[in-house]
Amino acid sequence: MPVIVVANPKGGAGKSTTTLVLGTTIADQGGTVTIIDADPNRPIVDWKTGESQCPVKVIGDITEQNIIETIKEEAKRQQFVFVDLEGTASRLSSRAISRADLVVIPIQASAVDARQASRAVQLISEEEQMLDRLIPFRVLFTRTSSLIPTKIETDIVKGLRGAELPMFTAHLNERQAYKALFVARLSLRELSTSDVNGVAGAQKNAAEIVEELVSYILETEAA
Amino acid sequence: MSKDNFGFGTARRPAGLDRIKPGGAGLEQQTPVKDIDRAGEAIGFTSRDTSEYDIVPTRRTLGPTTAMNMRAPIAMRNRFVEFCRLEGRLSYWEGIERMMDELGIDQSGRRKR
Repeated sequence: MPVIVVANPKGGAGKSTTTLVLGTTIADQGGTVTIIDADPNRPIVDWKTGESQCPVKVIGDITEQNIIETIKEEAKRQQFVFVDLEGTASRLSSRAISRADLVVIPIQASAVDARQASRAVQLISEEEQMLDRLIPFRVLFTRTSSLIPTKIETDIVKGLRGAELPMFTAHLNERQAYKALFVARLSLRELSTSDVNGVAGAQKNAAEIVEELVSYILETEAA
Repeated sequence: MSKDNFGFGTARRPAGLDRIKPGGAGLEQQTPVKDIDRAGEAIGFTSRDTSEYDIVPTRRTLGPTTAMNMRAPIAMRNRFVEFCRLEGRLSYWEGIERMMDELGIDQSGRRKR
């Protein structure tokens, strides 16, 4: 079950950060990973131009015409294929989701993010009916505090739980190290602990989410 | 760059990572893409690919250009204009170029031997 599409029609929800953190963490742990950067701003293609030795493969220049073929080709040989989508409702998103084994929907703890995330859930539901297969998805909270959750955060988490949306238990916390990834163009494992605050905390946080992701995939495959 | 001297990167390797194999539920999907597009469009996930609206150049790319004016006998001018029309609505410079090509005149202005 290797195709993981990271989607939320709202920009700035943390899609690229989520994709890069998960993709590079798994690759550094020995998994084979391709990241398909389908965001026109090409943040991960840009990241790959740095000096990182992380063995993650990154593919850019994605269009509506080549997205499906690209996913299929990579999924044949890689354990994990992540697709980082653009922050907009587009045909590219619907085509990518049609080939997904899991859709990760990152959202910040804000009402705007949550409303846009519901559009992604609606799209998944439409495609499930069209394709006559289940497309599992999970909401991932991003940029949350690693210490004390804000009241808004607590309310929104409660709201999503009430809607019975599947969620990652771990959140992708607000961490300086995640921002530093894009600046230094390195993986979390390669970041200098003397130059960036909280690298160890970010590594631990990323590993928790990866662990949850891997367990989920194994459980689904076993089912 | 940190060296990870103590091997924390692999120590936290999730159990069962090796058991995940390439493949995927969506690989053998047979549903036509147009049906997927229709499902997306119904809720606002429309095409943002602008390539079909790109203007395809109708003429070959030119290098630098300059103006070339001339006075000519009317009969010769008419003959030339008609030639350009019959050759496929050539612009005048293309008409001159076509005739020079036919005559084998090279960049130096000389006829090729």
